[in-house]
Amino acid sequence: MYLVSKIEDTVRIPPDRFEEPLEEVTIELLNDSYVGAIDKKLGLMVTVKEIEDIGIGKVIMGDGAAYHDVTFTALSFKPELHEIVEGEVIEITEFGAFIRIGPMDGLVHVSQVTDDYINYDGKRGALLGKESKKTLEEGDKVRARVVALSLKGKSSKETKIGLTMRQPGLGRFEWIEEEKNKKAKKKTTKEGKK
Amino acid sequence: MASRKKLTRFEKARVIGARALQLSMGAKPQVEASASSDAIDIAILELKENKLPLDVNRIKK
Amino acid sequence: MKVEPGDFVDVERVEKVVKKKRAKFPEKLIYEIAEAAERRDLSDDELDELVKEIKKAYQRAKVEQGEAVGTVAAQSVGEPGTQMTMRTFHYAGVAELNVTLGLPRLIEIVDARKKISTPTMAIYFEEDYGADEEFVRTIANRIGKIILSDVLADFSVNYASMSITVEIDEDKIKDKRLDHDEIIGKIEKAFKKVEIDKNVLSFEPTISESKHAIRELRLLADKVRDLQISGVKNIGKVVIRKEGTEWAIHTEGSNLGAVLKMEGVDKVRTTTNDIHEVEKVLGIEAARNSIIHEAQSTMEEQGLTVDVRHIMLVADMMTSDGIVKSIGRHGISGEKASVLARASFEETGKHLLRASIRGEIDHLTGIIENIIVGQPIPLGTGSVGVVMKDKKIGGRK
Repeated sequence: MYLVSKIEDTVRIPPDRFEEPLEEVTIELLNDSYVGAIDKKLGLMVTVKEIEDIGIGKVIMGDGAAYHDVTFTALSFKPELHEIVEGEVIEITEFGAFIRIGPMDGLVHVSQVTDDYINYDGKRGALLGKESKKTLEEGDKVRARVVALSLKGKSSKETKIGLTMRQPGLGRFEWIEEEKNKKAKKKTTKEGKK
Repeated sequence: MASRKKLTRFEKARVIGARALQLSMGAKPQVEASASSDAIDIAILELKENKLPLDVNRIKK
Repeated sequence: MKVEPGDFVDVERVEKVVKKKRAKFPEKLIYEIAEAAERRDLSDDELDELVKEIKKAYQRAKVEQGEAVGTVAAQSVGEPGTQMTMRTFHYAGVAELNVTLGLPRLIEIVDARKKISTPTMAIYFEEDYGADEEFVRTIANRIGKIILSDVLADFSVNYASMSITVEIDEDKIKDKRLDHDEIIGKIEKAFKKVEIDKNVLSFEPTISESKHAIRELRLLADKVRDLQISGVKNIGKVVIRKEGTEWAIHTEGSNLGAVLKMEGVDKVRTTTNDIHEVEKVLGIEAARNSIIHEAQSTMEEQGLTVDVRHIMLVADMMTSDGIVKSIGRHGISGEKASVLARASFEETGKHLLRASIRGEIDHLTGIIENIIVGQPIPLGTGSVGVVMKDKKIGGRK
C-alpha cells in the first residue's frame, strides 16, 4: 500500500547552494536523504511530494550551513500482511519467482505458485506445472497475496516479502481468466441440463 | 527587522565569523571584493555595506 | 589653578555640549568635565573635542548584552582580596572599639552570617540634639550596658557574717546620668534578700546547704557586681565621639530596632553593620545597600578600591529573592535550578543522587551545564543566535 504522510525534519543547506531557489534545494536534499530509506512505520520512502513549510535558516556554531525546519509530505510504500498485490515476474529461479510489486520485490516460492507440482526449466527460465501445464516466465503479470514480511534493515535490498498465489483469484492473469471462463461454462451447462 | 540596529561587539564577532565560514564554504559574496581579500575581509565589508544575508536574533533558540 | 570645592563650575555649558553631541552622561561625569574645563580653561572647540572623545570612551566602556559581568565582578573583588591581610582585628578610629576588618569581615558579608563576630552601631542625632553633649551622654548611658559595679564606691564580701556589703557612689550615678530610685528598684527586683540603708546595701545568699555556703556567697558576689542596671538589649560598651560639630555614639553590639525608636536619634544616618538586622528592621532594599556599603568600606579601609558596580552585582545576587542569601552552598550556588551546576560546585554526589531519585530535568540553559556537556556556552558570542535573512520563499506562514 502506498502512503502519503506529513513529516517534520531539519534540512542542512550548505553555503554553496544559498543562491539556488530554497524550495528546490530543499526537495533535492530531502530526496537524497530519504529516498530508499526504510522506516518502521512508513515503509520504503519513494519520494518527497510537496514542501508545506520552510522555517527560517538557523546558523549554528562551527558550521556555515543554514538549518531549516521543514514540514513536507512524502510518498512511501509499505507492504502489509495479507495485502493483494499485482506485479511483473522479473526473475525465475529454481526455488521460485521474484515479482516486482512497485518499488520492492517479493518472492513466490515454488510451493506457492500453484496447487500443482512445479518443475523448474533452467533452459527456458520458466516454472512448469506437472499436470496443469501452467507456465510462469519472466515478464508475466501476476496477482499475489503477501503472506510474510520482514522490513528489517535500512535498504530495500534487505527486506524480504513472501508471496503466495495458491488461493482462488490469484496467479498469472491468464490463469485467472481461464478459471473465470470455466466457472461460467459450468454454470451454463448446469442450467442447460435442468 | 528592516532598520539596522546597532550590534553589540559579540553580535558583530559572531555574525562576521559565521559569514566568513559560509564564504569559505562556497557561499557567493554579496559585495564586490578584490581578489586579495580573504573571507573575513569580505564578511566585514558585507556588514559595512549592510549586505549581510544574516540576522541576529536575541531571543535564544 | 586648582578648583576649590564650592567654586563656581559652569555645568550648564557642558550639559549643552553633551546634548548637542547626543550623548547621555551621568551627572557626576558632566560635573567632572565641567571642572576639568574650568581648570584647563578650555575653549568651546576644545570642549567639543573633549566631549566627543569622552563619548567614545564612555560607549566603549559600557557593558553590552552577553558580557560576562559575573566573572569580571568575581575577578575584580577577588584580586584585591588576595592583598588583604588574612587576619586583622583593627581598632576603628576609637581606641576602645574592636571591629572585625579585612578578609574575615569580607567573608562574613558574603556568607551572610546570622551572627557576626563584632556587631557595631554608629548612632547620630537629629540637628537639634547632635550638638547637645549633655543630651547625647544621657542617651549613651541609656543605650550602653551599665552594671552595678560601675556605680559602686565600695564592695566587700564578709565571710564571717556571710553577707556582701556594697556602697553606691552618688557621684558616679550623676556622672552616668542615671536615676537612683530606678537602680534601687532594679536591685530589689533581682535580689530577694537585700537590706537597703540609703546608699549602703547588704546582700545575703540563700543558702541551701551549708557545705557550699562559701561558693554560693562568691556566686552571689559576681551576680551583684554584674547586675545590669541600664542599657539596650544586645548592646555592650558605648563610645561617645565628637565628629565635626556634632556628637555621635559608637557601640559594641547592635540593636537597630530599639535604638531607632529613641528620641532624637537620626533615623537616616544611624547605621549598624549587621546586615540581617538591617533586613529585619528596614527591609531588603536597605539590606542591599548595607551589603554594598559594608563591602565597599571594608575594601577601602584596606586601601583597595573596587568599582561599586561589581559589589552592587554581588549585593543584587544576594538580595534579588527578597531575602538575604549567602554566596555558597547554602545560598545562591545551592539553589540553582540546574542539577549539573549544583553538582559541579559542592557535594557532587548528594546532588546527583537526589536528582536521580526525583527525576529532575536539566534544560542546559546555564553556563556550567553547557561546559559540562561540551556545548558552546550562552555567553558573549555564544549568546547570539544567527539566522539567515528571510528569503521570500521561506517567509510563508
